[in-house]
Amino acid sequence: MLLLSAVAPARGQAIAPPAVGQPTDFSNVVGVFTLAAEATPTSVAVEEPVELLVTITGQAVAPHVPQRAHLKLFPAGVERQFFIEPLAEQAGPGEWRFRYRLRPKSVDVRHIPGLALVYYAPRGRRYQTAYSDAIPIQVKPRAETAIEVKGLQVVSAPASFRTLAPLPTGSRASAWATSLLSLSAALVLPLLAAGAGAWLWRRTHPAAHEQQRRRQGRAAQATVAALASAQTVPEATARLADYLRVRWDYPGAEPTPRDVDRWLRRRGVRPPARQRWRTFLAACDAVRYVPGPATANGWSSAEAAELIHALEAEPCAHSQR
Amino acid sequence: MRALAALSLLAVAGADGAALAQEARTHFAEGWRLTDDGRDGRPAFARAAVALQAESAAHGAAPEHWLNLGNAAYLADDLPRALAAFQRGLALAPQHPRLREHLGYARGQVNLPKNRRGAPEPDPWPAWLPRWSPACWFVTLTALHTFGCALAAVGWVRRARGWWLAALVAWCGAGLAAYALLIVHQERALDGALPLVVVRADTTLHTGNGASYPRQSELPLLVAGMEARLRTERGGWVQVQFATGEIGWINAAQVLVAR
Repeated sequence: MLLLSAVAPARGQAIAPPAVGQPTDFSNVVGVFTLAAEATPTSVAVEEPVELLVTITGQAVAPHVPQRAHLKLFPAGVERQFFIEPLAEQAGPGEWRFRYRLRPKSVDVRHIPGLALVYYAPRGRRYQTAYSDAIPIQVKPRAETAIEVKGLQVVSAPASFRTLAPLPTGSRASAWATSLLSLSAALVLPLLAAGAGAWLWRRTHPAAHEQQRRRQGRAAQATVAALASAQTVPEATARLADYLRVRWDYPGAEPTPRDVDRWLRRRGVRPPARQRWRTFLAACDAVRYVPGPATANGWSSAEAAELIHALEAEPCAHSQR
Repeated sequence: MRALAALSLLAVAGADGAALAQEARTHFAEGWRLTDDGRDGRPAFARAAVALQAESAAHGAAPEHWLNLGNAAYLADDLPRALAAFQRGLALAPQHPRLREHLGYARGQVNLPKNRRGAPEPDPWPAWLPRWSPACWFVTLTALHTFGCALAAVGWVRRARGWWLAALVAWCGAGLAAYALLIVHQERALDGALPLVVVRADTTLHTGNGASYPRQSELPLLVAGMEARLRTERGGWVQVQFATGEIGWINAAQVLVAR
């Protein structure tokens, strides 16, 4: 740090510094000043900050007091060595402090150059310069970037890796579920059980089965008997319709050959029996709808009874209630 | 007297197991504490993995044990051991969700070549099939098949077609369950015939059981964490087959048998 003492106090009156002979680095201050500079730290890496405190002490003549905008302290070419940023400033009675942040650009920088404050001294009526010494600094190469992130020294993992799972009390091994023995048992046993159950049910409920067959037989016999007493074709057709409704759940009111054929097909009656019914009903329709009285001409109760017996002989007839 | 001695032995073994479990948990927690402090937690995780490995005899039947071991090994930066542990767990519980998730994550850390040679086997499980446990599928199969048989029996007794159709639907569901069990069964059969191994460290794949044999032309270099099937063993070398088709020999010390 260099101190250069000022010897003449400012008088306070407005004094304009002369333009003639004014140095180019004049800092637009009038009075008597000393200049000091202080740097911390003095050992840094490249581009690391060094804070420079510049203290100007003395008595200034207003309005030419030290102001950062007018100060020309740094020598020419300092930008090649440092990045310079202005920081805070502070003004007190007879003292002005200006802070700068300097960042050396290379390891070749050996010192912060001396500063110079060019001011106008009214007592001597001439421009004078206050200097500060150069400050030696040590600039080291920049260290390799080390990212200090917590958790970086372990393998990154999702949050589910963070906890240890509790162990179950019992074994959960499920090898039995895919063993051929258990699979075979699972497939065969239900089949055997169902088959045995059905067989047993049929064995233990023969009466119900026979009763059903007898019921069916009675319905057919009643219809055959009714057909024997029928005198006209519409009457016979009505008996057959009743039989179809009671015995085969036929939903129609008036059986037509096509509807009856379709219905019997849905109930599982085979084609020959259906064909006989269709032919017979078509013949009945032909007799019923010709002009004249619908007599029993061409009508045979035996033929109608044959139709009923043919239906009762169908395998699907046994499953009908 | 013998029973008393056996009981005391069991008690000692149980106490050891509990101590090991506590030790593993302590090291595991210490690993995370170090990690959270920005320090290296891998040694602590490695100690936790060692303690967990010592518990394998007692808890090896639990998939969660292998999950814990895999987690500790992964955090200790031992990727092959982690993969092997996850695979061991999946052999016990093929549909364990966390095991599958962690295995997938660990597989993603394997530095496979750009041509993807040596990639692990694709998952044989169809995407549309629910990932139920084998036991659950077995129960489903048994229930649906039994239900179908019952419906068919009623259909036979009553000679009605509708019951048979219902039975057919139930049997279709049972067939689906049987298909799921078949996949698991085939995978286990494959594990039994050709055990799954994990490459322990970066090494070379040779065409014969010795370093003097030339390197395998399609996949000469193996990286740690690659998975393959063990075909045979001879003279301290094992013949392995990768899912991408490459077959070669590798030093037996360089593989971990996963399942």
